[in-house]
Amino acid sequence: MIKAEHLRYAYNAAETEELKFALDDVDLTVSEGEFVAVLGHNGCGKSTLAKHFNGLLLPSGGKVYVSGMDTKDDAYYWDIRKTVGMVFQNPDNQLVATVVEEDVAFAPENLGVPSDEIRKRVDEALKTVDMYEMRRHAPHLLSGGQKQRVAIAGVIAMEPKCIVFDEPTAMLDPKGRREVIDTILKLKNEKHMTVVLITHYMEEAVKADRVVVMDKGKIVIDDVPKKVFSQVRLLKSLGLDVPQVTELCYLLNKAGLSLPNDILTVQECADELEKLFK
Amino acid sequence: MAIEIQGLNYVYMEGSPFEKHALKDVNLTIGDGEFVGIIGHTGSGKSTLIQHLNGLLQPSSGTIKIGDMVITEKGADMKKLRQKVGLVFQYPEHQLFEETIYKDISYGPKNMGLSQDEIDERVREAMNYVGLSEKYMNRSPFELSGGQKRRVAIAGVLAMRPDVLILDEPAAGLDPAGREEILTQIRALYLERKMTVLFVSHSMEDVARAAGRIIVMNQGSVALDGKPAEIFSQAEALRSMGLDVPQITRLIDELRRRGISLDSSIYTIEKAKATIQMMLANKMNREGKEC
Repeated sequence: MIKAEHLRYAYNAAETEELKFALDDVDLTVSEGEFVAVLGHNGCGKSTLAKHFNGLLLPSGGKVYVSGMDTKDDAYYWDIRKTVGMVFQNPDNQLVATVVEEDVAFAPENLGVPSDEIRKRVDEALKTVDMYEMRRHAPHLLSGGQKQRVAIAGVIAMEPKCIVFDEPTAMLDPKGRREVIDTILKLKNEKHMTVVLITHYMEEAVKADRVVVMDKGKIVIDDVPKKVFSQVRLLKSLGLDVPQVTELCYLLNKAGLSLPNDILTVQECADELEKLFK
Repeated sequence: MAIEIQGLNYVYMEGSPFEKHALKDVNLTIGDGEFVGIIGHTGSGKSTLIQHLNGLLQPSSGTIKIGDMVITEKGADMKKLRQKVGLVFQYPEHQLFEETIYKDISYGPKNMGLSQDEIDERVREAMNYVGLSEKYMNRSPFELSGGQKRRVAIAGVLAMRPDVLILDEPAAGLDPAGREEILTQIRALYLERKMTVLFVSHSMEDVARAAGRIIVMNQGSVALDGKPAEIFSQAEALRSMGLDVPQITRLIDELRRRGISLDSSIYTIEKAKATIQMMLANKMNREGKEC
């Protein structure tokens, strides 16, 4: 679906300084239907990487292919953007219309989709994100989680194969966060979409098929969540957190217990501790 | 400096179709030198509440007293109030505007009419509090990283040496290390300057770590008010208000449901670890005696 080969991206921090690499020799393949979470501290290059996935940024070195299309090839300019949709952090910056359903219709309209087809796509997209009942509301009066779901519907209406989410829950409260994450899981499980999720929340990354950890423009870990989060010390040294239950087990093990080191959820942790007490 | 709020009501766009009763009969007393976390979902009224505390919003009814100043009275000295009560908005880095970091931080003290020496001292002090090296002083704030910019913005408020510091989501959008750093600095500042600190957050983990008292807002009213342990032991109530409890609290709840007697007020990793170790040690002792 998405393939980055020896991807580098250079920028000038200040005119006087040398070139800096925000991405430094990144190799990554995201398969069709996969849910990949990307973690890393601020400035590690994860958003820069995401912007390469639909051609918003072009590589300074190496290649990025989207469904086999080279993002640097002008001939694929529109096809790449139709294949990979993006959802950003701030929903307020992504909504353009004064009525929810018009906002969702914006992209297919620009793609020249016939109007009865637009109607169908908009209704379906709004049902997918569970905002159909509010289709005639004004977006600016919605909650953060609702706005973000409308933004997601706007991307779904383009019928992309893959959606890249760049910290979609950073500005939301816990309820809004749950709504958005449930929507993302639905897109993956029911619509079989490919999902790339950039996040700071470890509890969200735990739900992915695969977790990629970045540091200083490079990929440092790329594995299934259980294998990634069991490396508590390494993650902490990269400025990242682990779920609280994972840390609890890690600390208890350091104090002499022998719990599994790949516990990620409250249920798993409760199961293990229950065994000890019984 | 203490804060007393009585019968506070605020209605947005009164008389229009969008009329919204954002604060409903809020009564609160916050003592001098308290560190209070305010939580609530989006639209619960928490930002509306704090904007009243330095006079950015005037209540529809009710009174607010800060120190010995009744700020809701006609003719209250707003300039004096805003020097006493420093408010750091959400994403404060968007408010930076000067050419250099020094100029940006000195903007407040300069407007207070202080001498150049005094301004100088305050800028250095404020930079020091937020962990910014003085060598950045003459750099443009726009060359810094997001987290550093935010610290410049906070320093700009600290340079006025407020008695009450109010922060709206100071850690929003930062990575875990950045969150930890900014919360540690606020906590250290609180201990050193003995200010009254109010901080608004969505993150239960952050509030649990920093605050001595938590106020939960829901639909414009104060729904819960107490020590972190008291608040987090009401997981069901919090969930129904669209909020979450720390993961550790959920673990303790789950274990209690399975018949393991644990103290429901545990909400930090350290406390959970110590308690579990102690219980296991007791269990081994008991089993040892039975043999």
